[in-house]
Amino acid sequence: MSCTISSELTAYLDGELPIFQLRQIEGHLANCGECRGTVQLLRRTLAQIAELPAFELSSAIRRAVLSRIDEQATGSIGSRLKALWQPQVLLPSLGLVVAAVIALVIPRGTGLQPHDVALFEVGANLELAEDYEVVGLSNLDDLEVVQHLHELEGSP
Amino acid sequence: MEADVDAELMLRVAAGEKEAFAVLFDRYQASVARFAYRFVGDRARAEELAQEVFFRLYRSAKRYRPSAKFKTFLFRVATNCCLNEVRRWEYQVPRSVAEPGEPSEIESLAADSPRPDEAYDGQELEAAVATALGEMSPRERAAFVMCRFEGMPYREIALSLSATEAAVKSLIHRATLAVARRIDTLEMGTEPERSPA
Repeated sequence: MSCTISSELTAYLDGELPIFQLRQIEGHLANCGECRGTVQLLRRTLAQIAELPAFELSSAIRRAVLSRIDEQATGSIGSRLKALWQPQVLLPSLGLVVAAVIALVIPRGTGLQPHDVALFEVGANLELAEDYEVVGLSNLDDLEVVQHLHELEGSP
Repeated sequence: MEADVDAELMLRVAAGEKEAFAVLFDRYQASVARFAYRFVGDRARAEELAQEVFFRLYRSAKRYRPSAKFKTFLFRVATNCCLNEVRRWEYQVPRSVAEPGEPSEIESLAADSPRPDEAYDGQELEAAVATALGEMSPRERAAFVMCRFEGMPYREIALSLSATEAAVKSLIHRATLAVARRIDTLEMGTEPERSPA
């Protein structure tokens, strides 16, 4: 194809050219047998492509996609357990457990009632949890640092 | 009007409405499946890709802005998925290893191509188109499939491919001509020459 206009022939058939260019190509086609042949070939090809059979997904694919979306939306059991395994959740819970254990095993007659001890422990651990939150740590390895923050207080 | 409906559905998906996603899936599953199939030329891979496209669409729902036409957004996601798949596939199955191995679905169809003295049938036409698609660059293939099988205008294709309309016009022309020559060969029973046209 030697005509420079030949590269516009597909866009011409697709109706993608502005009107002035359309007229230009129509004028050219009237005088160029080679480009007329190309237009015929392209036109025939477009008609043949339109006859190709469709490809459709099976209903099993629909079910698979929607159930995967469902799983993503609600979150799997594993991811929910993982969400619970966060210091923000674990720390207060651990504090409560420790307080409960102390309250149960502490000998009577120390002057403090188990109820008072439990409250004391909860208070201490809540303070720890608050420190933790302010510092903004994101893993359990740093817990020890937070627990010893008070040792740094007063040091220059 | 239709685009507004899709955009509205997509916003509902972003807000967590799974039913809206099911509606979008039903509206576009045929288009996505067709696109993936024509892109990779294999039914099983096309089904996997279509699933991946919809899953990515769901995950990117919050990033969707109604200023972009939904279909353009969808085909951008689909094109990226298909391009990634093709790159991964080429990496895993280098041509030198793939050629002597088991033939692909397209190659199997193409192997049954007609003898010059026979009229070709639908399957042979399918094989000829698939062979031509396989010989195109991924961008030519994407532009061609969006244009010929989805009827998308050049402007929308350009947006989906992040290309200019002039570039898309050129991609589609080259690709259409390549398919035309491949079909012509089928009719004539001769091997085509691939030229840049």
